[in-house]
Amino acid sequence: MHNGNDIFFFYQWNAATENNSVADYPIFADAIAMEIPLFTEESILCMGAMDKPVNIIFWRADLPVPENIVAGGMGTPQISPDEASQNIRHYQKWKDGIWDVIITRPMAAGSENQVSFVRGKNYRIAFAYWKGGAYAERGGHKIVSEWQYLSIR
Amino acid sequence: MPVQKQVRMVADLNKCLGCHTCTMACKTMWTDRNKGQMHMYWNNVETRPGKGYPKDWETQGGWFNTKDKNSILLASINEGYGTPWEYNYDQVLKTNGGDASESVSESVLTPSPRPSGNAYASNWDEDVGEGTFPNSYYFYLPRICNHCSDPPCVDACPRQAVYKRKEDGIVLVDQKRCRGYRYCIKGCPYKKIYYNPEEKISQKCIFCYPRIEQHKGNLCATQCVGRIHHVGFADDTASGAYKLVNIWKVALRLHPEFKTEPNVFYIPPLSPPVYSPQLTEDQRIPVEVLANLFGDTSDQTHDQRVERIKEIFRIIRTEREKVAKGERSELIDILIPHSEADRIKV
Ligand code: SF4
Ligand code: SF4
Repeated sequence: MHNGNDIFFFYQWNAATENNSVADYPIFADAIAMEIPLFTEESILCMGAMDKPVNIIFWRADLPVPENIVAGGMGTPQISPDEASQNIRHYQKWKDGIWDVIITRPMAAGSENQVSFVRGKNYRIAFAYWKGGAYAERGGHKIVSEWQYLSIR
Repeated sequence: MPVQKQVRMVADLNKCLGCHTCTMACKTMWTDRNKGQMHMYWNNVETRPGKGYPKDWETQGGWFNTKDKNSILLASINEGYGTPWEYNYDQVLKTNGGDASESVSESVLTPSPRPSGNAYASNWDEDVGEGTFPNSYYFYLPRICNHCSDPPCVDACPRQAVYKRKEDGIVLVDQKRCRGYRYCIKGCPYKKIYYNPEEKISQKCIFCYPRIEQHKGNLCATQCVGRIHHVGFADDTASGAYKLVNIWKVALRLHPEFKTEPNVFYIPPLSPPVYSPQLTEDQRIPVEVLANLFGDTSDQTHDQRVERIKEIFRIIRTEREKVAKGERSELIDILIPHSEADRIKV
């Protein structure tokens, strides 16, 4: 959903427990991410490639704000260092075994480290989900989707 | 993993007093920055036999004995490492520069927060040891990261945030690349990588690399009251560390069966004779106990380790006797260093 200026992604899923902390060695938080090729039409699902980098929006339940990440291959994801691209806001609530998470961002890219969402354009998008708590999922230990399509009308 | 040089440290356990000066030197220097570091002791001194720090680290496992990263335990701070506490020194000891009029308000030192639940601390079982009077025994084991030649912590990290420096073999966690996955903590069988829950990243002993770069010793070694450490590069034949490991062969690795090729070596401790009902030839610390800890290589059997430790004791005794008779001994000269330069050659 968008209002011409900001784009909103709404996620809802079942989670028996609210894992929103990483405050001790054995504690891991729930997380989700979406990945979009940064300037090519498509890229490699696993963190993109050097010449086809990807832009990732990463939400983890313990983080103050979601992170804007860029990656150019396995093991390379990095939080984009410029402040302008760290423009993502969110709303999160866990209640009765359900997570509600809304992630929002200006449609126009804050910098070259971010995808611009343009009306009438189609994007490839992939999703990832990490189950925290006792499942201790993090890093490559996650569930990933295939490439999907995102059309901005 | 080819490195150009490899730092090594030999610790002579015959001389460790268990004073924790090394621990405090390290803590003051490196892990005193935020709340998330308070439970970490990059250098710790544990009483052996004992549970060690973190609690029961030897049985937690690592890369060498399990392929399934997820089955390896991550201990909690409170139960595995110890939630740090403060004492009410102000109330009990306050003298304000000797001013007696400022009277104390409490007579008992109490920790706060009080240890709760299944609490633990880095020296929880200090001086407990084993055996019964008059043959009770224990010794101290100072531990840092072993800056292993085949470090599983490096392999465990999917982000290559843990790396081994080519110039000196020091193993570091890149604080910018680390995402706090804690795979390295699982990978290390010595449990010498710590998790900082404030910064949400892993941190570890850095072998005082900024000091090594200036040819100064790592602080646990330079500050040691017992002067038990010898530090040098593995191929520097002139260093005491080299001579103890390669020439005199009196230093062993801690748990070489973990297959990481640790670069911290230990001279196993001799101990007073067993008394039953007279003094006997046996030493109070059973050689079997030492052989559970120390050895040369990963493929050595327990019996071979026992023989090696006995051999080391024979060598040390023989050399000590020489000196007692007024003769010279190169080994004893190395073991009783006269200056820092004698022990530390980086
Ligand atoms: S002791 Fe542990 S942390 Fe240090 S290099 Fe070896 S495996 Fe890595
Ligand atoms: S400073 Fe030296 S003598 Fe004291 S506990 Fe550490 S290693 Fe042992």
